[in-house]
Amino acid sequence: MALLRRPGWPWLMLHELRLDWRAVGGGRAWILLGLGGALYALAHYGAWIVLSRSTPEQWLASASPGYFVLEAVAGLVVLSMAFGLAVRTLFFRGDLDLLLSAPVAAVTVFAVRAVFVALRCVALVALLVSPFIHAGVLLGRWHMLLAYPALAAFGLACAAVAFAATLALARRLGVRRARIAAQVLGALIGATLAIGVQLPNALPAAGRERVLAWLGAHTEGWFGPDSVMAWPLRALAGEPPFALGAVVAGVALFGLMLPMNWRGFLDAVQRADDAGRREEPSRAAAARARLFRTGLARIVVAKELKLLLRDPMLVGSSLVQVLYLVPLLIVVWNRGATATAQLLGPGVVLLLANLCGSLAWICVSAEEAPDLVRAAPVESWRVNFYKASAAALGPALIGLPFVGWYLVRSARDGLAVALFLALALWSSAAIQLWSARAVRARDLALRRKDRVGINLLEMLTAFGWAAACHAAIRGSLAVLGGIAVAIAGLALAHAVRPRSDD
Amino acid sequence: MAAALEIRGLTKQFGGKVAVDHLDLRVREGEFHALLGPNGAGKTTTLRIVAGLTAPDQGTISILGHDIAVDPIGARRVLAFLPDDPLLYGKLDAFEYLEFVAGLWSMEPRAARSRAEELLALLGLAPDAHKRAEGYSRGMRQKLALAGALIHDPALMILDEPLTGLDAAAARLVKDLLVERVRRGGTVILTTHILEIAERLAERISIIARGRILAQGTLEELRGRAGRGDTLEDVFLDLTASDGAA
Repeated sequence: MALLRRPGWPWLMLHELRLDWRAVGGGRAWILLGLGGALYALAHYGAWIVLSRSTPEQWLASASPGYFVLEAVAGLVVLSMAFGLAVRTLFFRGDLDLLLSAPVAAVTVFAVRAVFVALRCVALVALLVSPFIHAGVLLGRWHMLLAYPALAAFGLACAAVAFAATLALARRLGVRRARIAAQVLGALIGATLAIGVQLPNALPAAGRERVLAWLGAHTEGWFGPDSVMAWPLRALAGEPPFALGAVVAGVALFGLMLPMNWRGFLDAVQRADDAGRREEPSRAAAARARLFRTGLARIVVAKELKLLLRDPMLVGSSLVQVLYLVPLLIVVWNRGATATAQLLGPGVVLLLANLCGSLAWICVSAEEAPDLVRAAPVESWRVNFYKASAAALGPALIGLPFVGWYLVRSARDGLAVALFLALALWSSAAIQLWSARAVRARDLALRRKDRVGINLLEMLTAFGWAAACHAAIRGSLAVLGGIAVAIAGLALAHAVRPRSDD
Repeated sequence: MAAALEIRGLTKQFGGKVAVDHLDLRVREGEFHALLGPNGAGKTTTLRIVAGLTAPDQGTISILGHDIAVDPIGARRVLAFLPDDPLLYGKLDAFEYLEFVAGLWSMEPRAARSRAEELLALLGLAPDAHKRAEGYSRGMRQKLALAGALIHDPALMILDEPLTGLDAAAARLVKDLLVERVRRGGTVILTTHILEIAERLAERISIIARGRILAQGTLEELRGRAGRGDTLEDVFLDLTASDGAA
């Protein structure tokens, strides 16, 4: 027990566990656990039925390339998550000030944080595969328990790669740029497969044939039960040589990364404190001798745009959302002109509505000086309205070329896309206005945790407008259904809005 | 003399815990008033209610004749509130911050610009006026927030621990500035835990504990009430101890 009382590995592990538990919701998490537990038990029953009819070895023997694509997608998503978590660990200081100023070795702090990044990024996969592991054990396949250390080792390997790459970026580019670069890199990794799979489709037919033939020739034997690509699946199935191999590889990679990077970690954390600051006056600012702006709308919009554009993390997060337009564009582009027209507009409406909601949340709820704004002799709703308008400007500008493309193609379609895009942006902004609640940090990651119900309603509304857009382009009466869904989402969001913010 | 601030029967509870308990307070126009009290006495809650940041459960508040329940915008127009931990926009420089504040108070842009330059020079922030606030020290942030509070020339200033984080020279500068405002007819209400400041600057003092005003008056009057002729510290401790609040 003495180990738990002094600040070493186990003590810090407990600290991390407690923080994670509190982040889930502490006491409220028991309710979630209760609800999730029932589903989890059901998943065990399903897994037991599946495993009593066939074994993982049999699945692998008859595995189609689709299994391997799924495996690669899961792997890349885990790696992408590791990047996101590494950035947060390194550059959002949290309690690192306290920990690093305490008499605890920095390497211990780094190691514990990195281990938890590893565990967090494989937690979802563990949740999905664990019913199969447990069912396997119940059916007498004890070796399937080896999937757990294999999974943890995979997490360690991803964390090692993410930390090493992020710290290398910090050394190369400086902390300020590394934050954005690592974030975008993580998102690119996550989207790589989606983009990669669609890339051949973007080529002209003749070129596509050549590329596919070349790929076929060079990847022969990659996707089979005895291929290297099957090793991770075999490790997850608990096959001892593969599981142990994964553990050795993951631990070795992590063990190598740790001594090579802990000083870099310390340096990055120390420099992160200064990275957000830009003390030197810009030449443009210093030369500025203009009059102050006039008019509340201009002042609020100008202030919000400055704050958005000067926040590299925020710009990075927003770019990541826009990045997901790329696979969508490729997918729809190759389905012929009609299909492109029918799918592109709704996709743009959906994604930009989401981006608008995120930015509106930042502008309205994550106001940095709420007391100043509330104490000013102006109606709060006016200020918030202008803030939401500023948030909608960026997504509207991104949407303009798409509207232009539609207008050139068909005036009716162009007007439909413009209308539903405007309605979707307005709805996302309005929902954020209605549900505004002061939060401390301008961090999009917080938004996902803040008022999950409101976010779902915002998504439902955007989906309704996107569906209406799709139906309008097809000339279908289903447009009314989409509008009804969107209005229902809006009405619900309005009904559950907080009545007082005091 | 007319009242710059008149509070009657102000009550506020947070989850059943009484923070302000039927509080009455009258601050005259052109007065330097100090609001003193132990931690958790209800000072900040009272001031936040006056500034319109927290809704009261009961009571009326009038700021220079504007009832904040009836005419909140009119009341805020003549008021400046400086919280103890002013939140600024890290990514805006001092000029941009003051431009935003001036816009909120609908100031004429030319006058606002000139006033901003004057205040930044006065508070020693002119050399850093084009640097972003995220690079400012605690004291510089406090001074910038003060400039924001002063830019629209409020008739009533309410300051919650305004000298926190300031070095001796800056604290002296701020004190002189506040005294000068009162000399020119403005009203200043401040809270502070540094009793010497209240003793030296304030014309009248209110001592608050457990959400109620324990005593109010000039230093002499408070001494008489406490039955001691010593410092404000003695009087404060005597009054709050007899109330069981200290």
